[in-house]
Order: sequence, then C-alpha cells, then structure tokens
Amino acid sequence: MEKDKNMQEPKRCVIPIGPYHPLQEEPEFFKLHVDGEKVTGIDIELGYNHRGIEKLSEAKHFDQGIFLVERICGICSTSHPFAFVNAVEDLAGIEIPERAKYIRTVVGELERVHSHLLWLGLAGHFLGYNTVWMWSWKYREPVLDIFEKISGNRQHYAMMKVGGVRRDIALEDMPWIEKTLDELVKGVDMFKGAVMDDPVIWARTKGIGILTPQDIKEYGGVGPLARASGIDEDVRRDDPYAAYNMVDWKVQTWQGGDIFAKAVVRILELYESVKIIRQCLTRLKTAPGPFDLKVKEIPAGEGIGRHEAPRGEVFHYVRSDRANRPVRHKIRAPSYVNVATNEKSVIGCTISDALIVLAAVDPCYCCTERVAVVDAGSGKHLYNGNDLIRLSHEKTERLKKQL
Amino acid sequence: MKYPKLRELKHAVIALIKGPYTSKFPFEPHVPAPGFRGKPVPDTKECIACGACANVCPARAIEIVDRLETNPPQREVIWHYDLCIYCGQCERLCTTEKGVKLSAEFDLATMDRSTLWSKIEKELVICEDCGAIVGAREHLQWLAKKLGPLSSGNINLTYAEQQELNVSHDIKSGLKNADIQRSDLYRVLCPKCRHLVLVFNQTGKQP
Repeated sequence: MEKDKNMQEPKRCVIPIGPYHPLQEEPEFFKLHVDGEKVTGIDIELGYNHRGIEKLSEAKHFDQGIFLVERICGICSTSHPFAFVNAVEDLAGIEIPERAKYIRTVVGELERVHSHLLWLGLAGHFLGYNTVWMWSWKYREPVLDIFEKISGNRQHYAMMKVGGVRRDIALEDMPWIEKTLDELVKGVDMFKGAVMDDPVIWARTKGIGILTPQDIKEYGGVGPLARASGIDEDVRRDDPYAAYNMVDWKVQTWQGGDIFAKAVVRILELYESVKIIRQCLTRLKTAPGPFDLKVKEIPAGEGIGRHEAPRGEVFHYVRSDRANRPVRHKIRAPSYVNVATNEKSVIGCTISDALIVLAAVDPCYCCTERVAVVDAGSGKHLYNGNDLIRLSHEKTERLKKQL
Repeated sequence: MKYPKLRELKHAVIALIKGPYTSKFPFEPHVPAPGFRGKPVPDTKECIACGACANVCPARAIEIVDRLETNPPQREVIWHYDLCIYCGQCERLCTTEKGVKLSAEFDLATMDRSTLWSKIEKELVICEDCGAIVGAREHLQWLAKKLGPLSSGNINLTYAEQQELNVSHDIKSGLKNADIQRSDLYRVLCPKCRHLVLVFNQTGKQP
C-alpha cells in the first residue's frame, strides 16, 4: 500500500544534470577486459557520485554557492570557486581590485602545488615506491600549513568571493610563506632528480600509456595530460584572469605523452607555480587598495568562467535573472574529459601497468580501488584494486633486481 | 642504480636526526594557526537573535525556533555543529559583528550526534493585537540604539528602549482587540496591525 501511494505521488522526477564528478572520493568504475596479461578493452562508468550540485546551486545565493561548489572536490577546492567567481564577474562586468587578483593567484597556485605533490606521492605508491609517497606528502604538509595560516583551513579555503577575496594576506606572514616555499623547492629538486635519473622509474613509466596529440584532440583532453603530449594549452595564458597576465611564467609542455612525460610536466609546473607565488607575494607587499569590492547586486545576464585547475580547465556557466541566486549553473570539470582518454592509453598495456596508467590522469585513488579485472573470454572477475597495486609493486621489485 | 640509493640514504639520515614531520596528535594537542576557522561559539551577551546568520548559512546549519507558547515567548538560535561547514559566514555577516565567533576548536568527533549543538535563547516581542512576532527584544533595543533620536518615530523601538530603562509597562500580549482605536497607535503592534490602525476607523471602514 505504502508503495502504491508513492507511485501515485505527482511530480516525482529525476533530473539528469550535474557534475559527474570524478575528482575527489570519486566512485568511478573501470572494467578492464584482459586477454592473458594484455588489456584489450575498458569500460568506464561514471555517475556514481551524482550529488545534484547544479540544482543545489540554484537554491543558494551567489555568496553561498561558492561554498557549495568548493565542496565538489576536496583536493582542488579553490578551482571551482575560482571558475564560479570568474563566471559571476563576467556576468556582472566586475573588475576586481589588484590586491584581490594577486591573492586569488596565490591561492590558486598553492593549490596546484599541493595537488601535484599529492599526485606524485600516489604515483610513487602505485609504482611501489612508498618512500616517494611519504616524501611527497611530507613536502605537501607545509603547503597546507600555509593555507591554514592565510585562509583558516587546510582544505576548503573559502577565500573566493564575488568581487574579491574574503581574507587579506598579512604582511607579517609573507616572510614565513617565502621561507616555506624555499624549503619546498629543495624537495621538488629532489623529486626532479628521483624521476629523471632513477632507472626503475624510467622502466616503469617510459613508453607506457601513450597519448598522442591526436588522441588528446579527439578526446578533448585538458591540463597536464594534454601538455604532456606536447599540446601547448593553458587557460591561464590563453584566457588570462586574476593576475596571470601580470606575472612572468611559462606554460610547461613535454613530448611523448607517456606517464613519464605526465610526471615531468607536473614537476615542472611545481616550479612555475612557486615562481608565480613568489612574484605575487612581492607585489602584494606594495599593492595598495581594498581586497574586496563588497558587491551587493548581480544583474541579469549570463557569464562563463574558466580556471586552470591542477587537472585541467574547469568551466562554469552562470545565468542570472537579477535575483540573488543563479537560474542556471553549469559545471564541467576537467577529469570528465580526461578520464575518457583512458580508453586510448590503457589498451595494450599489461595489467601491472594498468593501474599507473589509470592513475596518471590524476583522477584520485578511490577510483582505482574500484577496479575489477574481467577475463575477456569468460567475463570472470580476476583482480580487484588491491591486487592491482600488489601486481604493480611486484613488477617494480622485479625490475629493481634486473637492473 | 647507485645514486638513487645514496639519495634515499641521505634523506634517511636527515629524517633520523630531524625526527618525523608529523606530530603525535591525539596525545599532544594541536594548536591551529590564529584565524583558524573552527567551531562557531555564540556569545549570549552580544547575540541579539536577529536571525541574520541563519539566512546566510550555506549549509543551513543554524536553526531558528520561535516558541510562542512559553511565557515570555522565546526565540532559540541553534548552531548544529554536525551540519556546520565552518565557513565563517555567520561570523562575517553577524549584525552586531560580535554575536558569534569561530574558535580554534576543531576536534569535535563524537559518538553521539545529538550533543553537537549550542543554543542562544532570547525573549521575543509580540504584537499586542494579533500575537505575531515583532522581533527579538534585544534586536529592537539594538536598532533603537543604532538609530538614536531617529528611533522615536517608531513606537516598537521606543517601547523597547523604554523597557531597557525600566520605565515602560509590561506588554499585554495577544489580547485580541475588537475595536480599533486611534490610541492603538501607541501600542506595540506588528506591521500588519499597525497598517489596520492607520488606515481604518472604529467601524472598520476607511475614513
């Protein structure tokens, strides 16, 4: 009876929109089809993590929506707010103060640093280099300390605001931040060495999971993934926002498109990020003016906002009807396109390489813990995620002995 | 193959001397940086129960409960820490700017979710005629103070001010008055009832 009642209830509908968001605790599901050791096919299932963020955002003020989109992803928790405020400012035609531009850039780049360090650590873990994992996360920790000092939290910084930022970076904190960055650069130097001259890492990453520039174009790959295949694209340079056109930096690209290239691009980007942060901090010492415009009203209209998140371009579209909430808010996250490139990169690899190939996209680790390996002939499940990590570790051990 | 090993050895020695980067957290308390966004703690003295924080809270973690059945009627502002996202909006947009402050307390893990709240209780002023809520008493007093001499045009604010000075009568709340009289203008009324008093005469017709 209870069921019948529910069935008759009018206006019950499911709205199939929203970020199928594979960034943080993403329940993506990869089905690898294997023939012996070789991967012959992959099924990618997305949409386990549909939380109706876009619909929720229509119920929040422009000021509140920032906190909502911040929680799309725990790792790049300033990328979405950054793109969102860019979109709202595009809509309202707001030019933010100089000081706010620099602070936004500092936050955005610090996030890239910690996100790339996180990926380096995880890549090390998947390859069986748990030392790299621990090192990398150790050097990531001071970055989070900087965040705690300037924003009040290690993650979910709540710094973005339409028309500026919520908190200023105090002058007395700057020497400490610069000192911490100096320490960080020493760590990154070590990583650069560890990737560039370790023969085992070479053997595990070179020529594996190759994405050609053609593949990237076909799948619309973005971010470090595209730059590792030699495609020179970066929203920060191509469509400048915040202070990215006011400081000196370069887009890092690498040829090859294999896992090695992806790691190198990320390490080189760490240097660029630190360079950008240093310049911004220097300018902040003298940049005058307010850091927030105290915007009261958002006019009717539509706007788009883009930001180069650590994983690639994140895109927000906002439409407003002069109320204090958006009538439409569309979000596209970079991993949505990047994860699809696995179809190209993973086929032809061995099972023990599959894990690092899937992880090289930098979706996060939860996905790989949901991997199931299916035998192409019988359709039987052979391995789960933990087995794959074990296989990967075993291959590294084998290579270490051979070299 | 030798150099990577040497590098690992070097860092192992450094780690031995410097010790681990991590702290022994549950055993040694962690002191967050100043400005840390921790548990929001409401201030009973400074909060005026206006409800602005509940309006701006992105997570709807602040609940406003109006209790008209108690004597005097009460407004409860409840912070639910299990829903709170520690964004600091309630602190930033507080009417008095002192009503709630984010503390450095972050370790709120508990087995019993129902203990995660804190509450402010404030007296409500209600319409003498229909019993609708006019506002929290301290909110009206705060407004009267802020407006200064300008507040004398508003009977509700004047009343609140006088009551603070102990020169006002006690409000006879919720007495349904059959006849509308001109003198009703000098009673504490909700905007709807005040409109009736201003527009209609005793017979219920517009003059």
